[in-house]
Amino acid sequence: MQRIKLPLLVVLGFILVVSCDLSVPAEPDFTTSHAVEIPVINNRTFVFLGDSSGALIDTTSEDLDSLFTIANDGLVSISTEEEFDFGDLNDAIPEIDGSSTDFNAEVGELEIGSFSSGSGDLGSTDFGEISGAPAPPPTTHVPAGDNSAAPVNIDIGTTSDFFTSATVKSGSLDLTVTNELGFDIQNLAVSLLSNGVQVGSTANFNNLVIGSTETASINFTEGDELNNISVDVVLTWDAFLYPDSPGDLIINSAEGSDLFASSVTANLEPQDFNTSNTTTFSDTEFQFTDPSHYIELSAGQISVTNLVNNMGIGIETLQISFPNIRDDDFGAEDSLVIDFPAIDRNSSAADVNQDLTGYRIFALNNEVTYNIISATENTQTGPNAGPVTITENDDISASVDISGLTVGSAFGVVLSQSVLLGDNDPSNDNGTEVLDVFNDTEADTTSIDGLDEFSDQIDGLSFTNPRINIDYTTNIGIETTIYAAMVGVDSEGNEIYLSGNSGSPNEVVAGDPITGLFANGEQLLPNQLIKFGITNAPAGATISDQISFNTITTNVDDFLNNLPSEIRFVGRAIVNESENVGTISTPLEFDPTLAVDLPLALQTEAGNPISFTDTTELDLGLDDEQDFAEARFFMTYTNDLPLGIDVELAFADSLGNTLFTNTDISLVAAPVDNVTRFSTGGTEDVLTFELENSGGVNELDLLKDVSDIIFTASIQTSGNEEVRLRASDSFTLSLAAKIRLQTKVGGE
Amino acid sequence: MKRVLSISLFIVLCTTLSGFSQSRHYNSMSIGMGGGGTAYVDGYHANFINPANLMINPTNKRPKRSLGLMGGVGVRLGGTLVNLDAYDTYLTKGLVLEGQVAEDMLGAFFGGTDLTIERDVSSTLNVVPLGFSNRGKKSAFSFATRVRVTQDFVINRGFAELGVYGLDPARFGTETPVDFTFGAVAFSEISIGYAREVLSLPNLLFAKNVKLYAGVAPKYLIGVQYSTLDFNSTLLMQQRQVGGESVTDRIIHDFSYRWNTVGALAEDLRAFEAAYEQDNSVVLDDYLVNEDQYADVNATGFGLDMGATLEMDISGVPILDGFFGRKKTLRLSMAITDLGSLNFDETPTSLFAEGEFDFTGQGNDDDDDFFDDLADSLQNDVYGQFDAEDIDGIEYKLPAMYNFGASLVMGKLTTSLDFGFGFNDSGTNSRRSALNLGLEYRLLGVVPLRAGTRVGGYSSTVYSFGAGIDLNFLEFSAGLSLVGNNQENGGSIAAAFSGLVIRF
Repeated sequence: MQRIKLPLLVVLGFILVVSCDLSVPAEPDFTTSHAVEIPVINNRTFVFLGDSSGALIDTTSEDLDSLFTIANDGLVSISTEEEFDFGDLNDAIPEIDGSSTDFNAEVGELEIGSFSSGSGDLGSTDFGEISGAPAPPPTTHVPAGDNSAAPVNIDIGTTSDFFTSATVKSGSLDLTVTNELGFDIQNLAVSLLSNGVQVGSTANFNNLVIGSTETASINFTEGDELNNISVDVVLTWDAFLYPDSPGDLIINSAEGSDLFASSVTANLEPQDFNTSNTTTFSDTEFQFTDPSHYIELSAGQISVTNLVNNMGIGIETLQISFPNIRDDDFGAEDSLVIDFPAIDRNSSAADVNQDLTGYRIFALNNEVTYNIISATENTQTGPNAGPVTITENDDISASVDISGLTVGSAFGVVLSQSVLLGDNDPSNDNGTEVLDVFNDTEADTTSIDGLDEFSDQIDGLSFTNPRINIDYTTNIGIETTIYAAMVGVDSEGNEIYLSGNSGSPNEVVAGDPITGLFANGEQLLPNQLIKFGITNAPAGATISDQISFNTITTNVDDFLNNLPSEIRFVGRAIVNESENVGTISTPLEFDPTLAVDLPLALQTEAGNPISFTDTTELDLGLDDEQDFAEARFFMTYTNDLPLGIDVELAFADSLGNTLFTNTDISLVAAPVDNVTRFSTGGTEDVLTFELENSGGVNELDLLKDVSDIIFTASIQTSGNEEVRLRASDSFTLSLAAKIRLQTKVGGE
Repeated sequence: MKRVLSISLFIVLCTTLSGFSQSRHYNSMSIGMGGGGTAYVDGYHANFINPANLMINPTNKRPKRSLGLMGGVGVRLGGTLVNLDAYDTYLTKGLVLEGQVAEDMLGAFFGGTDLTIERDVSSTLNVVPLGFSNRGKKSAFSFATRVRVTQDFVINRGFAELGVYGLDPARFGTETPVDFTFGAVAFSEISIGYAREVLSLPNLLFAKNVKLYAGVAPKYLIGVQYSTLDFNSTLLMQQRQVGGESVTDRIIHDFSYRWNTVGALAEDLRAFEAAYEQDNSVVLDDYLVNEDQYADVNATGFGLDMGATLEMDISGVPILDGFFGRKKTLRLSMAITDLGSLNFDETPTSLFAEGEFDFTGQGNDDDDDFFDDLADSLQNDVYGQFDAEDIDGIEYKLPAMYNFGASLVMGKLTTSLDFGFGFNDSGTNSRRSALNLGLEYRLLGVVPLRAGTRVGGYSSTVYSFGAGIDLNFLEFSAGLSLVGNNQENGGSIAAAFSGLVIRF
C-alpha cells in the first residue's frame, strides 16, 4: 500500500487538474469599431472680413490687420503700406568750395606826434645869450634891436626824448614858446636845424608879449630829414626898460601836426592801419545772385595761418572781420570778427581756426570781403617804451583759408543736379555711373505683405481699379522730378514695368534724362519708366503729399494684376531743372511709403478662374492597427459671396506623391446686382462628400499615409462678370461628420 | 509606525490598481486550498482568520514561534465583469466588434439588453509587513500588521456601449443611461491576538484528547484614504435630415456626480473649487499641491477578530489508515472576522456637480480655437465645475464575515472545508454564502502540494493550487486561484505569497 501511495496521489492530482474547467485567458485578438458622428460646425456665418470670431479673412491677425480697408459702400480694398527706401537725395545738396587768399597789411605813413615825454621844456635862452652881452641892470633902457646876426641855437634834440630821427613825408611841427624874458618880443623866428642845417619853414611868432605862450608851425616837405635837431632863435624887439626880474624865452614843446613820415625812429604812439581783401566761392553748383542769397553751413571753418609781423614794432591789436559771414540773427551786427592777441615785433602769431558751423555766408557774386584792422603798440609808454624805427612799407602778412564747407541749407540758385537713387555698384558702371534695377545692391526691393502670399497662391485674379500711392513727407523746397524704373516681379518671375500712359504727366519720353537706368545691363526704354514730381515744401517746413498712380495715368492695373511678390526700384532725381531761386535744406527729407490699394472689384474669364492653392500638413496620428472604415461629411451652406468655388483636395504622402484626390466640393456663387455689382445673396445648398473605396483606390486605407493636403480652389466670379466684394458678404456653413475608426487589438 | 504603515499603504494603493481582493484574509496556504483556512491557518495569520488557531500545530512538528518578514502578500481580482468566457468568445478570435457581434458580446458580459444592468470589477490587496506569534501549552499570543487596499469599479451597460460603439446615434438616438461608480479604501491594521485552551477532555465519543481553543484579536485601524465616485448620466444624440440622410447635429450629455473624499486631497479640491468660483480660468493641477500629505492618517478605529476551534484526535476512526497512517486530527472552527469600522473624519468632503454638455459644433459665438480648447473647456467648465460641501465623517464598515471551518489532518494529508458569508456588502464582501474545499499533501514532508475550490461568494466557482517548501522552521510557498465557469457570477483570480516565515 505504501508503495503505490505516491504514484496514486500523482494520478489523483493529475485527474483533478484536467477535470477542472479552467478559464485561462488567451491573448486578446479583436478589432474595435468606433463611430464618431458629430456636428462640427453649426450654422456658422463667416463674413468676408472680420475678426477672429468668424471671418473668412481675419483682419485682426498680425499679417492682415492693416491690409484691408472698407469704403462707405462696403467695398473692400486690399490696402497696404510698405516702407520704401527711395534712395538718398542728399546728393542734390550743392557743394560749395571756399578759397585761400593772402593779405599784406602795410603800416603806411607814420604819424609823429609829441617829440617829448612832456616832463619838461625842450630848451630856453635869456637876453644875455640873445644879445651876446651881459644882461644890463634893471630899468636900463634897452634900445630896439634884434639878434639876427647871431641867432641863438637851442638844442632840443636832447630834450625831445620821444624823437630820434625821421624822414618826413608831409605835415608840420608845432612849436610852443613862452616869453618870460620880461619884455615884449616884436617878432620871434624859430628855425629847425637837422644836423645844423635848417629843414622846413621858419616858425614866426609876432607880438609875443611878456608872459604869453604861443604856438607856431614849421612846415616840412617830403624828404626832409630830421636828425639831431635843434632850433635857431632870432628875436626882434622894441626899446624897453630892462626888467627887474628878467627871465627866459622858453621852448615848451614840439608836436607833430599831421606830421607823417615814411620812416621814423622815435618813441611812437600806436599806429592804426587797415586793409581789406576778398575771397571767392565756387559757383558750379550754387550761385548767390542777390544780396539775400546765402548758404547756412553745417560745417566749415576759416583758418588764418602764417600770420607774421614784419615790423620792428609790436602789434597791439589785430582784428579780421567778415561782414558777410554772420551767425545768430544773421544781421550785420552778427558778422564774424576774429581778434588776435598782441604780436611782438618781427614775429609770428599762432594760427587761428574759426568753426563756421551755423554761420550763413552772404556771398553776392560768390565772393566775400574781409577787413584787417590793426594798431601798433605804443612805444612812448609801457614796457616796450623806447625808440623804434619803422617805415611806411612795414607790414603784417597772413593767409585766410575758407574750407570744408558743408551746406546745411541754402537759398539762392541751385544749379540743376542729377542724382541717382540707389546704392551704386561700381562693378557695373563701365566708366559711367549706372543703376541696374536687377542689381540687388543698387535696387530697392519691397515686398508687399499679404500681396506676396496672394502671389504665391493665386493665379487668374484681375482687379479692375487698382492704385499705387507713394505717400511722402519732404522738406525739399525746389523743383524735383523723378525718373524711375519700378518693376513688379511675381512669384513665377513675370516682370511688369510701371509706366505712364501716353500723354499723362507720368509718361517718360525720349530726351528725358534717363541715361544710366538699366535692366540686366541694358538701358531702359522710356516706356519702361515712370516720371513723377515732388511738391515743393515752403522754406523750413516739412510737408506731406502723395504721388498717385492710377489706371488713367499709368498701367498700374497690369502692374498689380501681375500680383508682384516684389517691387524693384531704381531712379534718377533731377533737382531744380529750371534753375529757379529756391531753398534747399539738409538733410533732404524724402520719406516715402508705398501704398497699394486694390479694390476688390474683380472679374474672371470663362475657363480661366482664379486659382488658389495652399498646402496643409495632416498627421492623423494613426497607428498601423488603426483604419478608417468610413469618413463622410455633410455640408449645408449659404454662399452670399459673388464667388463660386470648386475645390480639389489632393492627398499626398510625405514624398509628395498624390495618393488620391477629391473634387466633390463645389460651391455656387451668389448672383450680383447689375448696377452695384455687389452680391444680392445666395440660397441654401447641400453638399456631401466622402472618402471611399472605388476604382481600385481605397482612400480610407490611404488616409494614414497622408502627410499633406494640397487645397486647390478655382474661383469664378458670378457669371464670370465683374463683381465687387463687401466686408459683410458672408458664407454660412453647417458641417457634420460621420467617421468610423477601427482599431486592431492583438492578433497577427 | 502608524505613519510608516500609512505611507506604504498609500504607495500600494496608487501602484496596484489592478490588484484585487477578497474579504476573507488569505495566505499562500489558504489560497492554494480554495480560500478557506478557518480551521487550519495558524501562526500570526490566525489573527485575521481565527485567532483561536494560535493554539494549533497543524503538522505537529512546528516550532512554537513564527516570525514573518513581509510575511504574506496576496492579491485578488474579481467581479461580475470579469467574464473570462465572454472574453474568450469575443475578444480573442479576431472579431470586429460591431453590429451583431458587439451586441452579442455586450449581452454576454451584461446578461441582458437592459441598459441599466451593472457589472463590477473589484480588487483587494493584502500585505502583512510583519507578524509574530508564540504558542504556549495553554495559551498563545501574536502580533501582526496588515495593509489592505480595496477598489470597486461598477459600470452599466450604457457605459459599455459608449466604449464599444463610440458616438453612434444608432445606439444613443434615445436618452441612454451612462453610469459608473468607483470606490477605493485603504487602511492598515495593527492586531494583537490572544488564544487559550478553554476546555480539555481526554475522551469524547470516538475522539480523544479533545481541546477547545478560544481566541480573540483586537486591532487598531489606521485609515489613509477613502473615496467614492458616483457618476450618473444620460447621453442623447439628435439628428436631422441633410440631403436625404440623417446627420447628427446635437449631442446632449446630462450628468451628475458626487465624489466623496477626505484629507489633504479633499482640501486641495476645495481650494480649487473656491478659486474657481473667483476665476474660472484656474487649472486643477495647480491646486493639487499637497500630494505628500495624501498618505496622511485620515481615520482611526478599532476592530475585532475572534473565533473558537475544537481540536480532537480521531485516530481511532478508520479512514484510509493504510494510505495516510493512523494518526488523524480533526479540527472544527468558527470565527467572526472584521468586526468594527473606520470613521474618516479628516476634512470629509463631498464634491458634486450636475450639468449638461450640449454640443452642436462650432457656432458663431465660438472662436477659431474652439476645437483646440474643447478638451480644456470640458475639463474646467463642464465636468470639472463642481461644488463642495462638508459632510459627516465617512464610516467604513469592515467586511465582517462569519466562517465555519473543519480540517482533517491525516499524516501528510490535510483536507478542509469552510463555509462562510458576509454580514455586509462592503467592498468585495458578499452576503452570498461560499463553500471552500481544500486539500494539502506534504510531499516528503517538506513540499506542500495544495489544491482547492470555492463555490459561491462574489464570483463563480474557483479552483486553486499551491506549492512551496515548508521546513517547519522556514516556509516559502505560493498559491494561485482561478475562476472556472464564470459566465454567471463573474470570475476571479487571486494569488498569494507566503513571504519569509521563520519558525523557531
